[in-house]
Amino acid sequence: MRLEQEFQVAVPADRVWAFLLDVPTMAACIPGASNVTQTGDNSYDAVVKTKIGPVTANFGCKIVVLDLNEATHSGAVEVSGRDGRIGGGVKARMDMTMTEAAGETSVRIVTDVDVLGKIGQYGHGMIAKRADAMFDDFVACARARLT
Amino acid sequence: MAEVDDAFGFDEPIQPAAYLGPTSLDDALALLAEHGDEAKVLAGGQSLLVFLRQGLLAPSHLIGLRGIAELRRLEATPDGGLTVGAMVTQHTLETSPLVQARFPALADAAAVIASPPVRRQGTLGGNLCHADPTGDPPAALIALGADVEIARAGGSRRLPVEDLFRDYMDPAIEADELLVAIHVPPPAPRSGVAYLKYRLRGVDTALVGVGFGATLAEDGATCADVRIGLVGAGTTPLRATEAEAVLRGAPLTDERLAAAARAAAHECAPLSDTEASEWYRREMVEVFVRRAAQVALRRIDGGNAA
Ligand SMILES: Cc1cc2nc3c(=O)[nH]c(=O)nc-3n(C[C@H](O)[C@H](O)[C@H](O)COP(=O)(O)OP(=O)(O)OC[C@H]3O[C@@H](n4cnc5c(N)ncnc54)[C@H](O)[C@@H]3O)c2cc1C
Repeated sequence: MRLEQEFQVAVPADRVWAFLLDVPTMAACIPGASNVTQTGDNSYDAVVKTKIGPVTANFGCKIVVLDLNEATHSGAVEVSGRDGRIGGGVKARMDMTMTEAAGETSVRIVTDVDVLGKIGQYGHGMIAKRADAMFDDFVACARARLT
Repeated sequence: MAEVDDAFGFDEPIQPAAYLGPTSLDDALALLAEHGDEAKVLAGGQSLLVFLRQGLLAPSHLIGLRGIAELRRLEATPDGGLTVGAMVTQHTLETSPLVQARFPALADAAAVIASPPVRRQGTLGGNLCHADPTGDPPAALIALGADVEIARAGGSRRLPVEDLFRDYMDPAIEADELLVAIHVPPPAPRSGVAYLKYRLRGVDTALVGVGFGATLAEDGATCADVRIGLVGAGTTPLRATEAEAVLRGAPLTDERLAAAARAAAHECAPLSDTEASEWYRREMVEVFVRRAAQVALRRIDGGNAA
């Protein structure tokens, strides 16, 4: 499943870039994320908790940041998360690009996500809605920290 | 086989949970106050058991409501309304002469749920608390203007049924609360209510479902009041208030009804999934609002009105 999302924030691209690459700070804006620890130069572990209906999932996530290009402010993140108790997980690759105009930065994120195991039964419509809601919360938080 | 089983999640036994079978509402509420967070309420089990079987939920306690007689009452109120205890089964609603005669939209909705064995176990309260956005009774109850009564130890509250649905499968009922009853107001004079479901296969949940209730003014042509409930049209059951506004106070002509149907299709927010796209669901909302309105309006002459 492919998700395309975009947001604008009224600061230069350098600032947004620095914020997004500071994974522990950035992750504090991801709804339900906790226990972010660095495990390598560009890799991190984190736990993301999310509730869908009566079911609460705790995804243990491995995060790898790759393909960084400071000059074009583009990069990618691969996340694979698994909930051992309920048996299911997500695998996602997010590709990010930024453009700056008149001091405002526009960030575009294209995500390819696979939902695995029992969580997949919720259907991609539901999961896309949830991802959009989480993204909106993330953007509101990122804006508050950046401006 | 092991891999296939694993993919469907049927390889693990259900986590053991202590079964508690209170025989009075007060006892049930006391148990919920004590165990609320770790316990789950068990009604007909038609939805909950699927979650348990798949290991998606692992409560420490199951609080069964079967033994509580007052949750099974189905009775007319002195003013001509209807009280449905949370544990009244869908089969009982479908076959009750009282429901069929005075609240046919509720019988319509109960009769199109799954299959007879599911309806004999599944309850109205369980259906609402499961808060599936494609369940049938919510749309009918929105059109009927029903309230739900929710209790916890030491108190109870009522809210319009449309306010019960907070988010996807997330009813506005806290862990120490119980849905006790559904209250349907008496049918107004010159009113009619209907529920129509559209599905692809016989046992499917609703691709879309529409509950439509209208009350005519004394002139017999102007819409004095209207309520439209939609399922399969978002992450929760919805009340189509913009469509209602198109009709309220206006003559109920075909053109107005068509405009209201378009408004409903516009204001809802259906999901795309493997069954149907968002676009198709909106189209079907439009079609089924019109059709449900026709059935409801026919019922106004059908002796349903006082
Ligand atoms: C094959 C199949 C097809 C189905 N098709 C349809 C369909 O087409 N349309 C439709 O509308 N439904 C459909 N259903 C769902 C069916 O209507 C269920 O009966 C209903 O959703 C749950 O009712 P229940 O009494 O079995 O509740 P349970 O499964 O026992 O409980 C459901 C949830 O509600 C909670 N709960 C139950 N009662 C209360 C209460 N009084 N207070 C607080 N919480 C409570 C439980 O803890 C649980 O979380 C289908 C079910 C099956 C198995």
